[in-house]
Amino acid sequence: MADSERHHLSMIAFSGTQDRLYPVGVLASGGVANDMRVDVFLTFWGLLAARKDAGEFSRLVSQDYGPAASAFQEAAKNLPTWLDLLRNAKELGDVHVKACAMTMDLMRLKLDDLDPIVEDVVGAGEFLDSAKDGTILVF
Amino acid sequence: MADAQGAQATVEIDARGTYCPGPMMEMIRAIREAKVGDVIAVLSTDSGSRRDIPKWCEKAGQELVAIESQGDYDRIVVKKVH
Repeated sequence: MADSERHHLSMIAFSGTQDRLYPVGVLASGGVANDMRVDVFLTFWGLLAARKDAGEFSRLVSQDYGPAASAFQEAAKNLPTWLDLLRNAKELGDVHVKACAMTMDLMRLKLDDLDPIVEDVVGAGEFLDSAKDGTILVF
Repeated sequence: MADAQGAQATVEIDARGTYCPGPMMEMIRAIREAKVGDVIAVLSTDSGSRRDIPKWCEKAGQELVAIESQGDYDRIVVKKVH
């Protein structure tokens, strides 16, 4: 299928908690299965969760759902991480992960500080321009 | 598509215990690495894969050979046709 005919799914990962980052990994996989181009824009907390030294930060779960949060946290121990899901999707398909330039500047991060899955640093304007003719999801 | 038990497979992948989209991604990877004519069987305990893998086959133009219920898991069999 020509590139111009393929559906383009762009996801903005703003949140840094596992319960919101898993959907990014799962939907990227679903996008690959549907032969879509998938772009992920990591910004703010979502970007911090992709640091090489994210440590404890990468295991946070939103407390918005009370006791269900700890049930999810417990269950997630048996799952590949959201970054593993993204890596797997990228290996099998047309998946591109980008870091938000503004967050990088603000938090004084370099591309080298991030997981190698992140391939580039781009601004919001450039990302939205590339995303405008497809579907945009925010997590 | 046959619902018969025990369709022959070239490669068998045990993805039991993995969750959506695990078994489907295993299938996509295996089909990609296979030769045309190879038959891939994925064992799955993930209920979503029963629907996702056939949908993917339709989309990707690969042949769904069988979905065999094995009690507490499914054996999903796909032939690489191109």
